[in-house]
Amino acid sequence: MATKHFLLLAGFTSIVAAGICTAADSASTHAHGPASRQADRDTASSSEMRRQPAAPSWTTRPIILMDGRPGGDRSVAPLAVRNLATEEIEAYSPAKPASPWRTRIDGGVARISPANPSQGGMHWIEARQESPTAITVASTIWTFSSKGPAPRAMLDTPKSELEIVPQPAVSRYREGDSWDFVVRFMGRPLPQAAVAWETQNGSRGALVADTAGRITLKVPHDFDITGQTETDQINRLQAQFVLTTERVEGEKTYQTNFNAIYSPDRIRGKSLAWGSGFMLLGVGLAVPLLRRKGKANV
Amino acid sequence: MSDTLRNRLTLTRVRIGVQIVTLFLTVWGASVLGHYAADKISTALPALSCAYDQQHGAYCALIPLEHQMHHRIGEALGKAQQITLQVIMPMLVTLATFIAFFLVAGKAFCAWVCPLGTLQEWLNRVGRRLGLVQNAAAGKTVTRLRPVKWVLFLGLVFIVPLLSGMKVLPHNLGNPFCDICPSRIATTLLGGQLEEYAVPEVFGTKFLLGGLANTIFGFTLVGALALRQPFCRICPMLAMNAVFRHASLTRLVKVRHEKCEKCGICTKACPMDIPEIHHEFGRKAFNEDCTLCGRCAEFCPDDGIIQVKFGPWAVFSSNRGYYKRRLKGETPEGDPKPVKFMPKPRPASDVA
Repeated sequence: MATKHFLLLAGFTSIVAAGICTAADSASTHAHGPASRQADRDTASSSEMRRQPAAPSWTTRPIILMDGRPGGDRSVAPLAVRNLATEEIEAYSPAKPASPWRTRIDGGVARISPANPSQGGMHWIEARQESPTAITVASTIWTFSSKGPAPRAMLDTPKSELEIVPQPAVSRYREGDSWDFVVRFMGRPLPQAAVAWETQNGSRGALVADTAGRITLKVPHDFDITGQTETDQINRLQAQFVLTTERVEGEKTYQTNFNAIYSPDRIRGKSLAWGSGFMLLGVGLAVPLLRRKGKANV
Repeated sequence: MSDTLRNRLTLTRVRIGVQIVTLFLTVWGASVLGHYAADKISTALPALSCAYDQQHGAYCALIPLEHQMHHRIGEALGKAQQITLQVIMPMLVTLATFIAFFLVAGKAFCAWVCPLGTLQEWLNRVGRRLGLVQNAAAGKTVTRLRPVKWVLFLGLVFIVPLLSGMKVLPHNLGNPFCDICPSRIATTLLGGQLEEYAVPEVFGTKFLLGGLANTIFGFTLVGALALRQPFCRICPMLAMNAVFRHASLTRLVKVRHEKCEKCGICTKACPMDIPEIHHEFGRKAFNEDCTLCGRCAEFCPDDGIIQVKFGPWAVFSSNRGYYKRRLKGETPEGDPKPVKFMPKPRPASDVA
């Protein structure tokens, strides 16, 4: 009895498999057409965006960007600093946050590896520029693919005079997400700190920290997905956002920046109606099971 | 142990307790245990959780394998690079982690831990409570379906991701099993996420795979009301566990007994309708479809014939007394005993 229904489902699966082949063929056929050249340009620009540090025309804030091909050697983070005069980058591991190490920027890129190759996870990356009157810091988090301990101790460790620390740390932000950050000065939460934020896609805003120095950033929906036909293309899009705060203490100005990557909301380009339709199809295929009695073992 | 406690503490009840804890851990655990708990849970129990759970789970056993095939092996072969230690090692580490997990828990993952297995089992209990007629797969159906899980395991977890990494197939076929996995939809919905339930708007590969996933999800939801564990029968995780089942410390053992041929209650109790547990002994009785739920041992009416063992120790052994007590609660197939409401006897004075 159950065989018939499994066979029905298997039949539907075969139709889908045939459809997938058709869709794949169709995609390769259209790859040379004018409509797909736009898609190619989109893919190329998306790929280009991932390979090269984005021209920081969208911000004047100091930021740290990936500079190199993702998916090459995943145990090395090729990072470049923009809008900040510095010669080295400092890294903090989640396992030993009290023992940071420095890597020189060579040819515009610092190639950072975990202190212990078997322990990856989230690392705090920081660059700073100092003068007698100002200290400016750029910071971000880099996640190495090998597993590492939770970064709680790393985040709790003071790493610069003024800092914006994500609580918790997230390796990828998405449109529409709300995440907390804590502003700290000399290791202590800084109440009422004014934090400015901006995104690579042109959104801007300002937040004020609460009494515990906490701000909540709601990542804006600002990706233009026009012309993106596949959800995979949409999911591969990414852009930067940066949070900035300043504090003047005596004659010295402290500025800190935290930047991170965000991606489109996963539901963009998707349809709940289609999802429900297909689910109802599955329900329909299973309904006969509720109406008949099987022969064996009942 | 008091008689009341002994009567209530059945293997199935212990298993339900474990299922509740693991379902909670894998779907909502990080909400209570903290944001980073998901990583810790996944590191400790690598065959859990799902990469699509945004805040809760980290990954399941199958997605890293698909990614290793696609990102590492496939891309390396595609570019005709040498397969160096840098390529092979990550895959071996991934596999070794899972093998270590399977060596300890073995097939018990399926019946004790898997969130989708738990949901299907509970739905079937609901169906039985509602009095829906139950379908059991006959021996032929069971054996006919068996290759499907191997085809899905080899095809969608290894071959298609590999060919996609080699650019023979489109890039968006990098993790095809995850694309059709109903557990991805179930656990993300339970976590309050709708994006995995939604299907891509534009017709293409992802649209078809997403549509197939939702169809399987709908079929599983309703089918489980009238058929025990419908998706488990074709799940690639069952195949993966089957590979290591005889090397696992947790396993099923059955010894030969003259009464077995005429009995067959064990197959009736088996949620996967495995005929071999009735007809075979020794290694063959621990079939590739077994999920180590232990129901066959619970409902075996003879002492020490079927055992769930961990290493040299019998965690549970069939026992006639236990079998009789168990029958008071439910039938071997899982039907609850009907609760009989007897009319209260009228006092003798009223009758008169």
